[in-house]
Amino acid sequence: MQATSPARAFTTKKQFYAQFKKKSIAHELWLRFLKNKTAVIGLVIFCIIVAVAVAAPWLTSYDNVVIKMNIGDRLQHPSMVHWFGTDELGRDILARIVYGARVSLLIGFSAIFVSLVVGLVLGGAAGYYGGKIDSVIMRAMDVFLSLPDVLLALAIIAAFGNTKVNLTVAIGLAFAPKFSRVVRSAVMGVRDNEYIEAARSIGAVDWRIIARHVLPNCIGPIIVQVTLYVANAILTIAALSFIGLGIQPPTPEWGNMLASGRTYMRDFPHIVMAPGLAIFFTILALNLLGDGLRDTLDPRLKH
Amino acid sequence: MDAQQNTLEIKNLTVEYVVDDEIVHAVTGVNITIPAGKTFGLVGETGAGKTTTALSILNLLPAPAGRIVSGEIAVNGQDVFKLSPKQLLAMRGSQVAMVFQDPMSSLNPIKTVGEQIAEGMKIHRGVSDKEALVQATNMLELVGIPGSRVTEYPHQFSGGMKQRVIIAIALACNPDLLIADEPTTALDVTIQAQVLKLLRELKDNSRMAMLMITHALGIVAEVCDYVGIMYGGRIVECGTLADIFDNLRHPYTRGLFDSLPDIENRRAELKPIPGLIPDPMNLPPGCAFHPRCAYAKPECSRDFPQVRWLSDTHYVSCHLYNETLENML
Amino acid sequence: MVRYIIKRLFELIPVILVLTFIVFAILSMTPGDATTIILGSDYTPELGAKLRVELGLDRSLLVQYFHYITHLVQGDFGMSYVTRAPVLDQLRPRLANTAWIVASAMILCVSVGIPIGIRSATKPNSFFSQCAMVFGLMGVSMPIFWLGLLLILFFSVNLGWLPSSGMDHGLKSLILPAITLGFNYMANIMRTTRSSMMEAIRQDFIRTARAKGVAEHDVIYDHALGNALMPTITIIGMNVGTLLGGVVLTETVFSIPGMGRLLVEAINQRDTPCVLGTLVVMAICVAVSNLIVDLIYAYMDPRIRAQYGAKARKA
Repeated sequence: MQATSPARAFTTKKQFYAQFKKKSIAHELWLRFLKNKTAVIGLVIFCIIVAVAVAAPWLTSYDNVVIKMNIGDRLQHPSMVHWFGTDELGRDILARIVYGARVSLLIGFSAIFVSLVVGLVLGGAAGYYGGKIDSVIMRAMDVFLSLPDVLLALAIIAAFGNTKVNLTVAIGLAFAPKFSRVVRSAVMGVRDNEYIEAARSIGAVDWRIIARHVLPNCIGPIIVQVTLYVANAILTIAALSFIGLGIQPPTPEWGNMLASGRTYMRDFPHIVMAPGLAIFFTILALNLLGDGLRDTLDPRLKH
Repeated sequence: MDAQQNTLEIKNLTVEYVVDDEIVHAVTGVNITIPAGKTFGLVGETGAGKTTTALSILNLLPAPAGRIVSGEIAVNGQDVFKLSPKQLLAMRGSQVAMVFQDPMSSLNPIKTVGEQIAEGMKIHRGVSDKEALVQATNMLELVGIPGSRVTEYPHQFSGGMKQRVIIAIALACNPDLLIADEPTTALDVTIQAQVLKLLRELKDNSRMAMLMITHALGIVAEVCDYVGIMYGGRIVECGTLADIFDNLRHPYTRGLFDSLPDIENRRAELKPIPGLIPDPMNLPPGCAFHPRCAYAKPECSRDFPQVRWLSDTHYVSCHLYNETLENML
Repeated sequence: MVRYIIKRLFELIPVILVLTFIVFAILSMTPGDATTIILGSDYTPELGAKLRVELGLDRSLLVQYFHYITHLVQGDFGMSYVTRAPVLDQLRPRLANTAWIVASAMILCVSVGIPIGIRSATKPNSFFSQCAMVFGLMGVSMPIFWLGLLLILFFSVNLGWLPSSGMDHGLKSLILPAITLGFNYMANIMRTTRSSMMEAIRQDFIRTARAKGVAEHDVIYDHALGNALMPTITIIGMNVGTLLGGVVLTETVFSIPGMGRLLVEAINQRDTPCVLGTLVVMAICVAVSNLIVDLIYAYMDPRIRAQYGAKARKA
């Protein structure tokens, strides 16, 4: 065997490992992801939506354009002035769509964040400890899973009202059982690997093992599910707003825009086009992204 | 040999796989002849092209990747590649039957064992459901499984018994040719012995020809009349059992036999063949074995050696025998 | 097999109990006083207190729940705060309408989704298959309430072929709602069937069947499909709940007097017994349909059948 050059004295672990890395794993995964055309399209569309949502205050004025009624201009068809036309109160639909994105994305992500936290705790515990704890948690989750998300969210809203916070919590709790399942199976897949035993054998404490070894390896499926559930959450918010139990007018939300525009849609179909397309493209983008992430992160699923 | 007598004749078969724009030369110029009632052992390591050869006989190559480039395969004198799809279906299972390597996954989990045995009979012999079931029961008995188990499901059988069921399925319509692709590889040694015994008995009791694909020389010795050694998609040496076991000529064949541990001489060092099996996508030029061959000469890396007949039954493909037929090893 | 059914039926009861308890518990946390809602303008503190005792609202949660359940099994869903009449009277006619829509949606989804899924699995690179994949992706991304509006615009307003609301036109009334409700579901079923079929076709026993000389048609529809249906049925079962969630939206879009709309109205009117009643009925439906799907699955999978049926032997 030839001798390699002697290792330099390193002060941090990072430096020590850096000499061996050719390309980081993240870089390789990114390249793989890029090969999947539909996934990239999804990512691009989603980034556009987020960018537009973030830039909303610079693009148009909230009070003047989005909320303020302008009866004189009502129900105008799409034109150069109003790209998507105006709604029944004379407001520019495009501006409302842009602001609507903020609401949907904000609540969607917050709700899934709630789900994630609950799911990580419960699913992680169930998956890691197994046995009785697993049984108890999973049976509880199974019961909740029996109830469809919309209905569970409706029950919570019926009880507590439909403020933004309530909506977030309601949707978050509705998705938490599903997340727990995902986390649990990811954890179980990793738990039996030998490096966990190795970590235990050198005396690592449980929470440390979970945090530093188990969870990082579960990130793959979790990220995929996060993406898909955010899509679902946004859809649920729009649905709830559509039936009047979500975000209330005059706050623009794609769902409630559809609901209020509905009365006029026979003669002014444009009024239901833009909000619907917005919801559709957002969810499509997230689905494409989620599928793409799934293909990238789990090579076995490719045939 | 009279052509009518030969159950199987493969002439100059060349098969490739096209994978992502790369061509894999799985089988090149293979010739195999099996007379009725005889067993041909096709020996080689994984990736040598044995299974591909077998699948070609029944035209079962995975489409669209697998392509038969050239060659002829005749079963009982009939050219397989000229058969209509219907005729091909009629041949599969009745004239030619196949037993695959992994018994655990080769049976349909949601059908009873009896149904799976009976299916072939219903298709090829047109027997009624009831009659087929009766015959299925008999087949089970034939392979050494109690006939009462005909209504059970595959998951209720152990690995060895599953393989017997698969043999029963294969034999259900009295095929003229049985192709057995590593039938015992996935089984425990004791079960292996049972299955081999069964195959030998079946062979002895009928005029069924058998193509036995294996990488174990021990099995070859037990069951085969003829042997073909395959490497890198070609047959490098072929002959009767005696030809190969007593008078081997090809360096690879020599390597195979040498790598068997000698139970008599426990102190001897193991003699593996140096190097690795070639990647079918990237076969070495000339003779595929030359990088690992102790006898390699310059021409070995240029041209593939011609076939030299050493006797009526024995031929070898090796540049060592270009000038002489004497044993060069 | 019968033993398995009975076992699962027994397990259904605790599930339903827990589900109803959860819903009950959530709703009991509604802030505000039920008595003010019921009495409305007639409210006085004394009447309110009396009513509270009468309704049992001063007891503990568990006692209230017990009270509710014992009445529920006798068919008494309590009294609506709004109509002052038994909730059951409101539920009954609505249930039929909802049942019609859900049933037609399911039939549509299964009879269209599964064959398309199979077809696109057998020829994965064909034009048909690519179209099916695109349709599948669109299908799961489509918000069904928007789809309903589009369908109304096109088929009712533009073409005038189909009614845009209500249930008065017999079967015609069902078409658009069924398509709307089932759209996501159908796309899901199609995608799942496709991937399970592709997975099944790759299995070794398919190779065995082909080697036996089984015709390709039977290889697909007899050998592969039987195995592919099982994961598909699981997915179908897991998503029945989403159908019930979608029913709320569909009935709103098409103005159909069903359970979904009743639920929304009841929530808006703060009619807790009615909300409770609707949710309970829906929860029971979901639990029962999950059970049915499980039973179908168990019937199809001989491994489970063997466990509970004939003696299982391993040689």
